Amino acid sequence: MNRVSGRQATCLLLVVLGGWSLTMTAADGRDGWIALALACGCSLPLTALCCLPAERMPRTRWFDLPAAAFGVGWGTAYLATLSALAFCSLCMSVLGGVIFLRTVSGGQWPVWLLAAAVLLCAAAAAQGERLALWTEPVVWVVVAALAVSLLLSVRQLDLSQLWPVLSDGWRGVPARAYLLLSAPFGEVFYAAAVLGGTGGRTRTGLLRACVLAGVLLCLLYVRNICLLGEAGAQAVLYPSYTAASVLEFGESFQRGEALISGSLIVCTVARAALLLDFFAGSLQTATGRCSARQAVWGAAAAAGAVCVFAAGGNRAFADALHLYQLLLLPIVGAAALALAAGVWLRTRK
Amino acid sequence: MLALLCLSLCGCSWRDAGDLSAVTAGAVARDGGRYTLTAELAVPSADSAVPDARTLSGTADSLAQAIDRAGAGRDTQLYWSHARVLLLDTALTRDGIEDAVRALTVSSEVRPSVRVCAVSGCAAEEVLTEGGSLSGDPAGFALGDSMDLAVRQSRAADMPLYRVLDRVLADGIDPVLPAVSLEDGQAVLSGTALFSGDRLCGWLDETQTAALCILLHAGDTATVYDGDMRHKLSDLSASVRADAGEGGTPAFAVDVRADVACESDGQARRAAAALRAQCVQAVETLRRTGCDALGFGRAWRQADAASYGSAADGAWRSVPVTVRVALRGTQSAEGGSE
Repeated sequence: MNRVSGRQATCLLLVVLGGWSLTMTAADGRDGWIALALACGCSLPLTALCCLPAERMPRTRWFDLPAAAFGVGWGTAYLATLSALAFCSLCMSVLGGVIFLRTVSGGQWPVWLLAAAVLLCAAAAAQGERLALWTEPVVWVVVAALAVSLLLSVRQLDLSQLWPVLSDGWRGVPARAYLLLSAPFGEVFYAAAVLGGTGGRTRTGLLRACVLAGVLLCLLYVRNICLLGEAGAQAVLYPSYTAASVLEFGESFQRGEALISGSLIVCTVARAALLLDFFAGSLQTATGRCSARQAVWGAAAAAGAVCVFAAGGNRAFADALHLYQLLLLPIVGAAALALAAGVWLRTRK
Repeated sequence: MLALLCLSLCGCSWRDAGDLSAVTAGAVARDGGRYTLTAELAVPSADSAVPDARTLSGTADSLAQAIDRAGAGRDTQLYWSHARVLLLDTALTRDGIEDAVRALTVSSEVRPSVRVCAVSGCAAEEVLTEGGSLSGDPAGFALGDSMDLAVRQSRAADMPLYRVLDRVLADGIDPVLPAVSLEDGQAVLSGTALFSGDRLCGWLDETQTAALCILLHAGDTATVYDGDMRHKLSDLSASVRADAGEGGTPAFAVDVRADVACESDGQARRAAAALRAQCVQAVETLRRTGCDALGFGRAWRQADAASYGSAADGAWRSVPVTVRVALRGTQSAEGGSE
């Protein structure tokens, strides 16, 4: 059983979800923050559902749960499916970070170098307790960077950009909330699995992270709309980055974007490390042949190759991300529900 | 490794400063679908504290290619992050600026905080190639200084690139750009270019520009002229409101409040009356040209989205506007005009 505390669970998930703040678009206009808040609210029962099996049937590792709940054959199939899903999530995560960095740094860094650097760091950190220890201090840097960016922009905000609220009614809000619940919040499934844990410790930590991340993302979304204008924020690829680059704080501070972009790299590494850890754990348990380190480095190398060959334009990535958001929630939701049901059937008196 | 990646984001890579040529200003022109981009470089001079000016041009079918071509064939890379102003040619502003502004905003080269100006009376590149400044600095660089001061003093609209894009794309509000021209070989601010949507629709002179800037609440201070008397305004605030009117059509109210430095109550009242007259004149010009710079349409939409949605394009131009100016004398004198 791992010894990750609730506070460490909060830090890890907050860093993972915090990366979304920089790559999110403002495509939903001035009411997008409502969809974000709705997704955040809906992520709480999803998180509780993901944590439930490990609490009800404690095992040394979460990856032993499927076999205990479904039997060895179905448990292996369950883990094999999820390891494939985790690899897709890993590729999307690294691609998102790499395309962002390539776009904002003007393309002078080759894609392969960025992908390799991110994956090397992630592979080195990919082990539940080590990752949790690493993110505990890092979360302060990430949150402080985003908070400073928010505070510096207060003077320049035009709050009238938010009015009228819901002028088109609720049309479109649930669909958008679904996509946001899927990614980023759906990836709480991986965190719940990697951190495992018994009692309410991990669950409380993850729930707290969802709420904090939701508040942070909503604030940043509102800031982007009020600073860049609704139409202006919708027209740019990365509103948070653009908003940070137009902050005015005297002559000496003119590189706010570097501050928050640095935190995106950290968030991408943490997210990739979490996904690598989940992939390695599930693959190792499913096959019973490779070691966790072999799986981590193998997956990192494979993801690097996929990212180098698949890194297209921003439009192509946006389409891929949309598809990913459409598919992730049903799969993760079904996996969490099936495991919870299997565990409940096994443990009922 | 993470630190190296972070450094790459702020333009600090393995290059040293000698490998970069700082661009201080740019000019964009479009002719038959082809963009010409002119970059002004400030080249340090060994003999003088003032840098020499040098201009480079690139022409291509897209702005991104034009930016690349402007710097092609040089030993050093053009570094656009220090550009302070971007000048748009008159032909480009007449044809529509949306494509150019959108391309520049999403470009990773130019910062979205660079201020955009419209050139009148000459080609945009001439301001950089032919123009000079009293200080001897490159024309574009000096224009950046002038613009900073003018924005703070409410003599020019503050229009960075990202704001121009928002105004161009937003429903119910239009952009305005500070106008730049050449006078006796000097690049100077000369009023304001008005836009309807993304197309140039008129110009304001310096007096009307000052009133418009107060209405836009662009700067910290402003000056109002009452005949020969000159009064300094501070603590400015301005708002546009749409009140319910007859038959679903609203009535607009423009409110301006400020502190005015004056010696008597009568002076404050006269200053308020003078400012109100200038504001009314500026609003009339906006209505006549169809430039909704003050966001009358947006105020209407916020007050009553249904009637705004059913109104014809430009319906705001026929809606009555009331301008109210309230100036508070900083030496216990009050003034107001309605």
